[in-house]
Amino acid sequence: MDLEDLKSENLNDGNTTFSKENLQRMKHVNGHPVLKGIKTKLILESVFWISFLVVYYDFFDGHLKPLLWNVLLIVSVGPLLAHNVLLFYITKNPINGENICTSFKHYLKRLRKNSIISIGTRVLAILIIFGYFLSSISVFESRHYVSLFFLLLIIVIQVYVLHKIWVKRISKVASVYEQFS
Amino acid sequence: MEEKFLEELYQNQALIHKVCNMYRDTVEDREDLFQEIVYQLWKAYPKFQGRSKISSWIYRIGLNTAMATFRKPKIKLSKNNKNLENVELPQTFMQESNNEQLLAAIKKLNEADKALVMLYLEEMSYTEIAEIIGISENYVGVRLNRIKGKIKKSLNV
Repeated sequence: MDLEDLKSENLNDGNTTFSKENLQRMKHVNGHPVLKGIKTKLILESVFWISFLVVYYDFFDGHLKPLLWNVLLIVSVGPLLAHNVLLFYITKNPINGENICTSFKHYLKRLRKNSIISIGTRVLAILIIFGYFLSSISVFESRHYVSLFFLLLIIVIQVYVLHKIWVKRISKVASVYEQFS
Repeated sequence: MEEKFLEELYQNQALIHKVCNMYRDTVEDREDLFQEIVYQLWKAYPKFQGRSKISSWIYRIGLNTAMATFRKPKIKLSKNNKNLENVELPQTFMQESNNEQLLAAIKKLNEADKALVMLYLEEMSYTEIAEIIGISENYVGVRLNRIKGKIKKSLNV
């Protein structure tokens, strides 16, 4: 039993199963199972945050907060969505070179860069949201310090979870890249 | 361009099935990977200038896509599962028991070794394999010898 035995077998394998119409559908984003999922998630999250922006001014006393914090809160929706946008972009572009090794090398570099952006933007967005809610407080009482403690806890948990997600992805790609060297 | 692409894809889709069968274990995962590869091929098609063979290009994009994923594989179902019995699969790598054992041994290899074996089984020259992977021709030879050793060991030959 040798690899050579498999050569002729292998060359005869692979039946044609998909019609041209099916292939035609597959070449669009909606034909890509992962991208389709990320896109749906991104749309749902965008709808949620836009709805939040529509009601926050009345629900959370926007008129009592400084203008700067109102503007920052609106802008913070961008960083909140950044994680899924980056994920969409990365999944859409896994090919980054003229051969597999070069492609993986560039892909790895992009993953590392995007992981920092993803974590950084999420922390920034949380800080802005909490900054907004704390902005009208002039005298800090003990309950405010408790809130600050929970704010820090949320940030730490977010960073930890996002870090774990990215490390897992980077490790997977790095491991394949190392297998080639 | 679209017509030409679809025609070439239609003629060569067996190569994509081979990559899917090698890198995914369930029907669902294979179908998903097939779609991902078609999407990437279409994206890369404008840059494909025919300098390499279409099969080399399809393998490069296909293998790259298969290995660059970080999705969790779906749970493998039993072969007796009724849902699987009714699904029409490309009949690849499933012919004879000897070959099945050999293929099972190949599937146990790491991702990179599997890619090298696939290209080798496609009777590509070391030069072509080296160009697709991005390593030297000599290293292709060294790696393939090591892989053959690993397979023999795995099969206890």
